[in-house]
Amino acid sequence: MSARWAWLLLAVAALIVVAEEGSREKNEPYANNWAILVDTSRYWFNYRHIANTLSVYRTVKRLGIPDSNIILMLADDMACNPRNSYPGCVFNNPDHRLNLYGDSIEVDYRGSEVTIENFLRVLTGRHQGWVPRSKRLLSDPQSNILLYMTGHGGNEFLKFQDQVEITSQDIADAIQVMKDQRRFHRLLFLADTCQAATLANRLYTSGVAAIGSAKLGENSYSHHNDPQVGVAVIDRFTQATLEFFERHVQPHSAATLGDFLRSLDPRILQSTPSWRWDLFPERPSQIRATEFFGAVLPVELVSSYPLFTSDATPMPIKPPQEPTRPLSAQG
Amino acid sequence: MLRLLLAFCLAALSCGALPNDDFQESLLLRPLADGKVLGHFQFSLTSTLPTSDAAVPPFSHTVLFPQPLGAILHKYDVREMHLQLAHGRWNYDSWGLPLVSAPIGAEFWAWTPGSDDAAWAGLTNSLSGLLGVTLGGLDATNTRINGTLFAPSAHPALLAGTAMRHGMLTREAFCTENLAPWLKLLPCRQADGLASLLAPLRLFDSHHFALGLHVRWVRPGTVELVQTATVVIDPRTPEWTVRSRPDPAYMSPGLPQPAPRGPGQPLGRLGRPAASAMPVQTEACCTRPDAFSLCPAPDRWEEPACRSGASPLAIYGLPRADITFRYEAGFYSRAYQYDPSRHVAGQTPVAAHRYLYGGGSSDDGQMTLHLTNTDPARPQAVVYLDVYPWYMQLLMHTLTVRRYDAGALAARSPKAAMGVAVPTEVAFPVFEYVPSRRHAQAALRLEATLPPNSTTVVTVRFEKAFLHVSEHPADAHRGFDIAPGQVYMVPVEGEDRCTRGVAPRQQPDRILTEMMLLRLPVPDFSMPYNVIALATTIMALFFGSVQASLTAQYPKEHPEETFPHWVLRKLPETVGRPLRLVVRRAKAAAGWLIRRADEAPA
Repeated sequence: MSARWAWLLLAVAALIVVAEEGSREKNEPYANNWAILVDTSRYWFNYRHIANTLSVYRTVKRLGIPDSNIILMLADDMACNPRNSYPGCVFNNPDHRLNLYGDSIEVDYRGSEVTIENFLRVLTGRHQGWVPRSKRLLSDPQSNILLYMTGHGGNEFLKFQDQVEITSQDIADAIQVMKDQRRFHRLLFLADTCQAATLANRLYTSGVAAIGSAKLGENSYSHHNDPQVGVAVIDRFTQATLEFFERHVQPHSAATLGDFLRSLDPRILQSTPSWRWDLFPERPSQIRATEFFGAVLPVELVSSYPLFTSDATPMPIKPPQEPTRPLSAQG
Repeated sequence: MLRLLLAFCLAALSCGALPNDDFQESLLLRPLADGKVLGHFQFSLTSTLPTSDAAVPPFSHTVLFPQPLGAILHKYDVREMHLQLAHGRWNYDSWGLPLVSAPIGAEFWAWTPGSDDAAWAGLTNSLSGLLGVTLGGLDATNTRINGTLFAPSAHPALLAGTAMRHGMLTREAFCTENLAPWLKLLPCRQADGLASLLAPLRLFDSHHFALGLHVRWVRPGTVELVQTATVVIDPRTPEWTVRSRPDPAYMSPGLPQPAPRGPGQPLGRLGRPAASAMPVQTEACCTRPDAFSLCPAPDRWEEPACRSGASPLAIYGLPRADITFRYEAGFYSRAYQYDPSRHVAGQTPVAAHRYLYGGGSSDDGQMTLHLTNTDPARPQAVVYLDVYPWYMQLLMHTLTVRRYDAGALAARSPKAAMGVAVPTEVAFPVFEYVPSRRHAQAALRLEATLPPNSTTVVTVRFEKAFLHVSEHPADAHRGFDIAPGQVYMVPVEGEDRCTRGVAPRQQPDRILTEMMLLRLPVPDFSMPYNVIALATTIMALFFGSVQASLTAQYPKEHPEETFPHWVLRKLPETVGRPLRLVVRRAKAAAGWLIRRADEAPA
């Protein structure tokens, strides 16, 4: 009799624990941001893919993600390419006002290091022992991860180094492994390639959303040619993304991913941007853009710090004033 | 409680032993024979670590020495290491011997205890994380124990039991992403001192740019970090200073004025006085003193303590607040109108060139090496060191060495030379070859004394190995880069060696040959997929038919029928129908022919 009661109690306790776990996971706020920005193509004529990646790199840095939280993979060297008439510079705009390469860029994987193997190792964290910390994704269950990929792709594949292909199934499985390892809280997968939406077809992990520049059977086009550089310098989807972020998103602005998706115009892109949101618990309009593209943490300011003051006289400890103002707020 | 803790921390900081640092920086400017200007920045930091107990790692608290680098040095027990990154080949014919001999791409060599592959991988990968270089590519396939003749300069007691490992990455990209972390190792980064002259975009727009990072233990407990930046720029371009400034005061060619700083003033906020010197070497003008006028006059002139031919150094101390250094006076107007007749070819005592014959097939390659002693009177002893990847397999029985008595020979036109000169077969007195194994490179070492005014031509044929599909790097169709060969000039006994400016250490002069691009028979990379698709299709067809024939059961139409009866019944059906068809066709054809014959005009 007592044994049966004990079992019942145990079961109830387990249920409560499980329910609490679930609710905690659901309400757990994210605490840090990571970005994995991948350019998969090499060769000079793919300049625009490098410029795409660097544009997103610049945006996420502007919005606060530090270099230590960005894994930047560039499959070729465009800035110091002998064909580049502007050494050390990568431009994405016609008037060359902004050098995307800049003076303080940290490229984590470059050239022939950008392989499918290394990409999957970064995602799943399964590195050889000697890989330095700067090349690892050291995220935790409270990380929001932005995964941006650009290159030449097709129906459910993306070409690396113009030589080998990664499939949508590989990406989906790697993301599931990440989830199992508790390496992220939410993940946004952004792809700018031909038929990019198909890359998200096989995703099956909760907490993941995907945005692609073109749907099945559509190409993703470049934005403009630069006569001085001699090649196309940015793709339309990334250009539209940048335009939205440059115009509407500052570190503390309340623009949401819903606003971003609404700003994408298929007539301008010449392709249909598509997204997959069924695995993501929140709606796009509930997610601020800076939750993935920036690092704006919910910091609470109190009016005075109780222990240290300017004249070094101890102040009486006050209770924190109501209401506390979230620094990142406005929504 | 927190305050107590903080006070304790402060006390610990103030009482703890601090390392004793000495930081020096200098810039050497030297005009080159073709009108370009060499700028050589050197930042050297000597740090004496406090003797601490074993519980505290030696680099756990540093003042000027970069802590991440110290952690790497400590973890992998590096006694001495050198890293060089360069872009743009040094033009030996026009610029003479280099101040710093750096191959295009990356070069790294280090003295560490033992030759453990795992420790080496850890060291190279850690450095690649620190500097953004793909040094992790230096593995057993392209590194070599004692791969250079550069002697160690660390304290001899620390070098016991160490091995030197050396490797070059010829295809390594070198760009601003490598310069930024290199600058971060400096005490004041780019904010103050001579480093503020380094403008990344100008440096990468130059003819030659090399970065160096040299670490050695001067004695136990004292480590020296020397960072060098060597750049060749053209003063005839409108904006030639190493730093491009929009300020109109600096639009004329000249160096910008450094920030005024008294001799006792601290360097930045770090609290150590900086002793800076800016030597200017006026080497090319020593025969024409009127070609240069330095304004203002240097603090002092330093006569070179070496053989004749070298020129004096004009030394400027940087702490002077009023220095405006103008390089253009006299220099720009007269002497540096480029005059081809002044161009002296073969300025180096030895010229070395190396090239490949042959196409893309696997067995028709030939490597040719030219070593020319340009000196008309003196012989020159050289050591040639070359390493080859394992897929380039030299056939040493085909090696020939010919010497052209080159009275009128120019090393740059060997074809014309061979027409007129009669070669003599010679043999190298010292000749060493380490054959390659799969995934381990081959090494060739030749030692010889080149007679004056002669060209020695070495040829050897080689075969190319087949690589597995997975062994090809990205963009394999471009070819495989072969690292340059190294020619070391052995100093002549008894002759004083000219100290070349502020070169960090006395090392043998090294000349690097050209890189080579080896074309290998590259497979069609989509072929494996085609083969897999075809093979699996055939397998599927085969398996399906076999399985069907083995397992399927067909109900008999006539259960009592025996096999011969079945054959007799089936034969007319299977053979008869095609037969009937043939007969019908034949009849039709015959009828057509007959009709045709009837209709034909007689």
